[in-house]
Amino acid sequence: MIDFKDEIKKYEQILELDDIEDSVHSTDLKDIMDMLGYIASVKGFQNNTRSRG
Amino acid sequence: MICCNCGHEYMSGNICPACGADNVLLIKAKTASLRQYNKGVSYAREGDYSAAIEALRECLLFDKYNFVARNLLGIAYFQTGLVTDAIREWIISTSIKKEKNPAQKYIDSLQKSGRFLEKCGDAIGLYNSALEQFKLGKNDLAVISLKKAADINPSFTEAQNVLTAYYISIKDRQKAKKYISKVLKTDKRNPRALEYLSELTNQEDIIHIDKRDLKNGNGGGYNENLAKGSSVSFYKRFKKIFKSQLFVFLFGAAISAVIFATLAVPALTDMKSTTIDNLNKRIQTLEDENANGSSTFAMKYKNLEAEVTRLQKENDEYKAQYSAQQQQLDIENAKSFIEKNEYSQAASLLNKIDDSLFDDNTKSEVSALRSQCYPQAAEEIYSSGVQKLQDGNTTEAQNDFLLAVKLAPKSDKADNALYFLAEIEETNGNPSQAKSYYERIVNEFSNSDVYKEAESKIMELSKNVQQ
Repeated sequence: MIDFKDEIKKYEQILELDDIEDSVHSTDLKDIMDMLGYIASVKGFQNNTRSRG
Repeated sequence: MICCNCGHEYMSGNICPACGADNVLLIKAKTASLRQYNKGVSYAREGDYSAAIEALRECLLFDKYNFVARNLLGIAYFQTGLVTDAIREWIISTSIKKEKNPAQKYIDSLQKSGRFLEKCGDAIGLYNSALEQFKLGKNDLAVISLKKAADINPSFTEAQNVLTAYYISIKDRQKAKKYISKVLKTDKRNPRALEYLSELTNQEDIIHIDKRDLKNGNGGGYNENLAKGSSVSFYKRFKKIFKSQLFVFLFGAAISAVIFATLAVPALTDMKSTTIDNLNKRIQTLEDENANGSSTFAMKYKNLEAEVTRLQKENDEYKAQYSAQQQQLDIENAKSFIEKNEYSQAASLLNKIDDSLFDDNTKSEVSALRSQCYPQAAEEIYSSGVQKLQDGNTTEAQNDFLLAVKLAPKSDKADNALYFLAEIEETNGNPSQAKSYYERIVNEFSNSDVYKEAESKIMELSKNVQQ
């Protein structure tokens, strides 16, 4: 038997009509390339720091 | 080599010297994105929107600029009632690809049907507030809100899933199944709905049926599927309960029938017998009354008979009065004819007078008139008869001779009239009648000029009769 109190916690609020615009503007679209780029840039920064050190 | 990211052309290596993008990784990411997109399309076609949403989100994780995948993700959201998420995806899609993007059409279409959009927004608002109410323990209010949301937007699977969870928690299986069925109709393999269905089917009695299904080879694979299985199990349970109730009902009906037969039937029989006796008595009374003439009908009949007799008598009196008046008129007319010496016409009227209708004075008057006109009339009529006989009108001549004899039986022409009548009868083949006329001549007119002929005719006819 399910515990409804626990079960209800699995459900999240849904975006409302009035909030669509804010949601679109605040969405920072990222895909795997962005992440890889980010990782590459972080790695490059670390390498540069090491070589300077 | 052309960079997939910036389009810069470079000679060798994986890294673009212009933008620094790793083209090998980039191509792999694009390929992965397309693979997920294809999966998403396939799931969406099957009506498995949850799986489609998952695949398309992964697709966009590999390639955020894939606006086609984003459009389809919006459609998948829309199908499951998540209209706002759909709109958000379509807006982002139009920002990526501004021209020839169907997402713009979707947005325009929704904006045109403003009422629909408003309703969908209301449904989402109700859902969100229901979640809050559940957290505050206001379950009744939350359920009302969710039901309303599900009514406003029948494809709102999340609202229906929450309702299912609630009904499972309060052990209202029927309602839980109803909402599971609704969700699975919209989203073929909605994971939460399947999980709830599994929860329901795991319960003892249903498991029993399911095991039987497995033995029969119906196991494996959820269908439109398990929902049907649960319906079957429900039907079987219902049948089982119904069978026992049916037995109780039939047993009760049988007992009722026995009680009815032992108590009510004799009472009814007595009642009917009494009614029959009463009716028989009534028939006997009516028959007696009818025989005695004391029945209402007989009395009425007698009265009517008396009335008919009285009316007939009255009618006869009126007729007699009318006839007397008519004959009085005839007498007056006859007088008038006599004055004009038209004796035969006067005689015709006087001959029809019924003397019994008049008093003695009138009778005497009629008699005097007859004496005055009959002889002359008889002579006229006789002459007319002779003429008709000569003309060959035997029947009319016969009538004239008969009338002449009747009016003046002793006149001078009466013997001749009788003779003519006898001859006509002879011609008509009535010798006995002819003989009687001849006999009258012989008996009543001894001085007649046809006496001898009559006598010889009598002899002749007698001989013929003897022969």
